[in-house]
Amino acid sequence: MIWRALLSILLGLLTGVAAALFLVFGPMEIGGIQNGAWRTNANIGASDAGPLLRAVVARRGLLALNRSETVYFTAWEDDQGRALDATCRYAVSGQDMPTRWWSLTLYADDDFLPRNGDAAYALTRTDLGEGAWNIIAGPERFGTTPWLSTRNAGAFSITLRLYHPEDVVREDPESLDLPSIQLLDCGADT
Amino acid sequence: MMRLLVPLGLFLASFLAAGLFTLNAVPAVIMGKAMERIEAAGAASGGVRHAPRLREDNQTIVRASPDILYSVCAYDLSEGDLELSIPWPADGNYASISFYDARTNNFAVISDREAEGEAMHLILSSDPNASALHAPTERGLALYRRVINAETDLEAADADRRGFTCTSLSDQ
Repeated sequence: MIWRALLSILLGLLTGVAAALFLVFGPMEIGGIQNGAWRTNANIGASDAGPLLRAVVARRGLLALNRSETVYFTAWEDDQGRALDATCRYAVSGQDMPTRWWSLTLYADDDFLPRNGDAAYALTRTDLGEGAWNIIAGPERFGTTPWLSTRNAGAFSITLRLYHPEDVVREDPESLDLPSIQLLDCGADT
Repeated sequence: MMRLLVPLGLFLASFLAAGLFTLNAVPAVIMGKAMERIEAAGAASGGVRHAPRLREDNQTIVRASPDILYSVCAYDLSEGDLELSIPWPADGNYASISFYDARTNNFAVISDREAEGEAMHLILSSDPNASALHAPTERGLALYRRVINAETDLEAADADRRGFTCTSLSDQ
């Protein structure tokens, strides 16, 4: 009986640790609220975030700001729900957003900037202006269209940062008109 | 029946306890490693590391922003309070100082908007009764962010953020 009890405890401890590590280091994402292709979680950076979110943010977004300062939206998929793929080309289009300043940054599947020598991993309100805008995310530059390079990025993601957002961003993020991400084609440069 | 229920109960209890313990431990471990790297890099510059602009070949923290200049100070308040000097951009760009405890909680943020353009000096203390900003853990990070609004703004942004200093009052 005692051996069975000890074995149960040992198995429980091992599987508990393994399950927690899988949740944190596995494919789990930060997202809580969805708006089109974009996800955000109101508790990022907050002291009252639960242990799972806190651990996932520590791994995937260490030193994030709380939402009074910055709201982060991240897209891992296009508007049709397909995982973003570095070998494909996407049209990303949007307009100015209700915030003091914003930026778009493309991250490779290891959560770092893609290592491809293109230095085309970010665009901001300063680059795109305060009206409607269109950019290309893909493995090659497309004419003079502003470009985020996906080369060597694998299953990449795009993070939208809104600095000093207006109240509507914090209070009703699902109502925002966030950028659309439309797949154009795949495999043109593999 | 009891032959099954007792081991099952023990399994579930230990599963939950181990899972919760691991989830709570992960942020402190990740933060500890980040602080070690920052302390090592900042030792030669009076405790503050003025990180170069983020590029693909100099990344140490996941999902950092290439449009922000970061300066960071790893503190240990067990040796005394910390005095910080915080500059704000004169050209209206975003800047902030954010404080993180040893478990990654962002327990305080002050931005240029609240500061209204004046340079700021403040004391960080682990003593909740001190007339200072209270840190919930003795060890943590103070991170200064300054937006780079355009390529032409880089020099001004770099000059601004170099006014950020952290000084342990035990050194004075």
